[in-house]
Amino acid sequence: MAAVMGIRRQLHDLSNILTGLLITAGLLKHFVPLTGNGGRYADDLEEGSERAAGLVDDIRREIHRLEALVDKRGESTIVCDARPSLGQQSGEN
Amino acid sequence: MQEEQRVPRDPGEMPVFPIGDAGPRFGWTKMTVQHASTEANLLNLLIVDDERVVREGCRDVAQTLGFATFTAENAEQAYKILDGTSVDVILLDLRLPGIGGLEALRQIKERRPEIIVIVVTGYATVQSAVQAMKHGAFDYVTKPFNMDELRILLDRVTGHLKLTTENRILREQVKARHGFGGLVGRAPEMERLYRIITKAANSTHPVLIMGESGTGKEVVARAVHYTGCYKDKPFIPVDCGSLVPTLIESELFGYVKGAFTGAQHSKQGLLAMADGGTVFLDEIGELPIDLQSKLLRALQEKEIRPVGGTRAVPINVRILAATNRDLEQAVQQGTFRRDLYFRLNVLTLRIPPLRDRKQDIPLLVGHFLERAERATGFQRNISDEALKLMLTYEWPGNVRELEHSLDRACALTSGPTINSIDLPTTIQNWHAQTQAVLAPEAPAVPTSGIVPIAEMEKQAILEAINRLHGDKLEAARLLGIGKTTLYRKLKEYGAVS
Repeated sequence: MAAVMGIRRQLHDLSNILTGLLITAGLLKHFVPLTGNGGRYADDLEEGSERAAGLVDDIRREIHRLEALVDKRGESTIVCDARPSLGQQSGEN
Repeated sequence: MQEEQRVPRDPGEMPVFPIGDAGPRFGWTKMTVQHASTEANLLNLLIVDDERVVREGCRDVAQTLGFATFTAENAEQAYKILDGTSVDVILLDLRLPGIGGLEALRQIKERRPEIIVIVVTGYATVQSAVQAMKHGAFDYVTKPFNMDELRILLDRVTGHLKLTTENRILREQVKARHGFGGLVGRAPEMERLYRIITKAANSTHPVLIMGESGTGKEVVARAVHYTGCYKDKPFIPVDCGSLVPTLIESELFGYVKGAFTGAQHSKQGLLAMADGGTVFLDEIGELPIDLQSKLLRALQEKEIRPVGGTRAVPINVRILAATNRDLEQAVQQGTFRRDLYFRLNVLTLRIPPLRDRKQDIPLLVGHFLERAERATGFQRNISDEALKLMLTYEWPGNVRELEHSLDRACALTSGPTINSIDLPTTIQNWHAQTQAVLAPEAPAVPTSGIVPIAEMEKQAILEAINRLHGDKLEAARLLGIGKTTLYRKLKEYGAVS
C-alpha cells in the first residue's frame, strides 16, 4: 500500500501540472488573439492536456479499485489481482 | 501575497490586463468575449494554491467573470488577506504546505462563516470531499479541471450569492416596509417599541404590555414570544377580561377529578401546559383579587396547585401580561395587588395609540388591503379623499378600529376603489366637524377647467403613494423624483405628520 500512496502523491503533482496546462490552454484559445498556426497549437495543447487528464482519471479509478480489493481480500492477494488488470489497461491504450 | 486585481469592464469585453507578475502571463489585448459574465462584479475571490500556474490561471479565468481576485500560496497568507479584506469566495486547495487545506477550511469557516469556500482536491477521495463538506465547504472540484469547469463552478457560486443577497434584501425590505414581527409601522415610536421588543424577547423576565384598546397588545406579545428563545414552545393567550373568575382559575391552574360538579376528569392548567413556553394574560387588570394572589404565588414559587388538588405541580412558563388600564392607579385604589404589579412590571412595553403615529396610517391601510386581497382575491385601493379622511380621524379604537373600518369598506364598495362614502359615518362626520379647521388646507378647485400644474403634481404623487400602498420610496422612484423631494411635497400637502 505504500506504493499506492507514492503513486497517489505523484498523481496529485501530475494533476496540478495538468490543471495549469488545461486552464492555460483554455485562456490561450479563448482570450488571446493567435495568428498563423497559433490557433492550431493552442488546440493541440488543449487536446493533449485533456487526454492526459483522462489518463489521470483512469489511473485514479484503478487505484480506487485496488484499494477496494485490499479492503475486501487483504493485502496479500492484491498483487495477483491487480497486475493483470493494469496490464490489460495498458495494452488497450 | 498578490495585489488585488480589480478590473472595471464593459459587458462582453475582455479587460486589458497589465503585463507582468501581477497580471496574466500573456500580453492581453482587448477582444470580444462571447460568454463572459458580469454577474460576479464586485465579488472578491481568494485563490489559495501552492502551484503558481494553477493559482494564476484560476485568477485570470475568474477575472474574465468579473471577480476581483486575491491569491495566496498557503494558509498563512490567506489568513492575512482575510484579516484585511472582504472576501466573498475562496478557492482552496486541500493539499497545502504547512497548515493543511482541511484545517485552513475549518479555521476560515470559524472566523468568517459567511464566506463561500470551494475546495480543490487532487486526491478525489470520497472521504476528503465528505470531510470538506462537513467543515462547511460549498462545493468541491477535482484536479485536473479545465477552464470551462472552473467557469461553470464560479458562475454557480455567483448565482448562489446573488440569490442569497436578494433574499436578504427582500427580508430587510419586508421588515423595513411593514415593521416588526407582525407589527406594522415605521413611526419613531414604533421603531423604539421594536427595539424594546427585541430586548424583551431575549430575556426571560415577565413583560407588562400597556396600550389602549385596539393598539395590538397581543400582536406585541406574539412578537416577543416568536422572536425570542421561547419561539419553538407554545404561546397560550388567555383573555382574563372575557372569562368568569371560576373559569379563569380552572383554566390557568387546572383541576383534579371531582373538584367541582362536572369535573369528571382531571385537567392540566394552561400554566403547566405551556411547558417552557409563554402564557399571555390579556386584560390582567380584570383578574379577580383572589386569583391575583394565586398567580403571584405561582410566579414566585414556580409551581401551581390545581383546583381541588393537594399536590403542587411545577411549572416552567414565561408570563406576558397586558392591560389597557392604569395599573398604578388600580394599585392605589386597591383593586390590583401591588406585589403582583411589581412582579409583572419587570419590563414594560408601551404601545403608542394610532393618533400619535398617523404617518403609519397609509402603511396600515396598505397592509390591511393586501390582506383582504389575499383573502378575497379582489384587489382594492383607496381614494385620496378617503385616505385624507382617515388621516384626519383620531381613531379612538386604534388599529383595530381602522382594520374593521377597512373590512367594512371592502364589503360595501362595489368597485375596486374605496371612497369616503364607504367609510363608517363616524369617520365621515369627524371630518365634517373638523372641516372648518382644515378648510385653508383644502385643495384648490379649478373653476375654469384648467388644472394648475401644482395640483396635477400633487394628484400624481398622492395617487402613486396610494397605488403603492404607502411605499414612498418606490413612489419617488417611479415618479422620477428624489425621496427628499417627495417628502417635502407631502409635507407641503399636509399629508405627512
